[in-house]
Amino acid sequence: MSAHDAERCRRALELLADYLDREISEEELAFVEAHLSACGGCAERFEFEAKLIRVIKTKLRTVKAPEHLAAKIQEMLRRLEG
Amino acid sequence: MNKATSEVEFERLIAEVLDLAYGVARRLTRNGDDAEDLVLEAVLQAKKGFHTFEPGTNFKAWFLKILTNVFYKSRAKNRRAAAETDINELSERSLYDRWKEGNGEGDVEKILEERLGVEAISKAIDALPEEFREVCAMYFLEDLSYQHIAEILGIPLGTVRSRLHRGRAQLQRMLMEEALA
Repeated sequence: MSAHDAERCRRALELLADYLDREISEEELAFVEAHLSACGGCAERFEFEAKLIRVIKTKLRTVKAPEHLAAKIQEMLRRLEG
Repeated sequence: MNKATSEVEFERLIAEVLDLAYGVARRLTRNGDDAEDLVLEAVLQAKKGFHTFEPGTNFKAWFLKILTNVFYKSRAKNRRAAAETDINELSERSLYDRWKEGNGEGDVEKILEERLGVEAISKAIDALPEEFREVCAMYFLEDLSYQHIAEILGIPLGTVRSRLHRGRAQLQRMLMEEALA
């Protein structure tokens, strides 16, 4: 890998999180997408990160508030309104 | 909006946001009972201030801001002993690096889904330093923009970005052993 290629990989990895969250400028987006289409190593890494984040979000979002908490809230609101 | 309509609307909005609020409260307090108390107090404060909520704006963000404010006020009075991970003890290598050092084969998403349980992920987030934990809780539990998280927590956008990046990197390292066991 040339020094130029290594620099492009480094720059792409710096933008990885912002890219996955779509918190990136149009210019940066164009750079990352062009780089990912040309660099298999970075594309694989980005895909790995995207999958990991998706798994964490999905798992954490299965946690529900206990049913008795909803009941406690109702009771508190009834008291306030009464 | 008359009083009865307002009360019905408030209850509806709270019901919609309850699972998210409890999830964030669990991560902030790292304790089920404290999380319930925090949500109850936040609902009470939200009810008192509901006249300031502008219909049509983001109720989740409005309520989470109240919840975090209540948390930091109560925490100032009753600070729990921190059980946070010393980031210096963590490996510098990412989960991806470790994955590649192993066989690096198979359906990554399926393997991560099988090996990373809710308990392990929750425990890893709970071990993050507080400033990273609060940002990560908002990020993973709800699809909020960095700007929304910044507004909820009352911190600059750049701070959200850097804390989230560092928090995610630390989380990866903590989950590494679990995922690759």
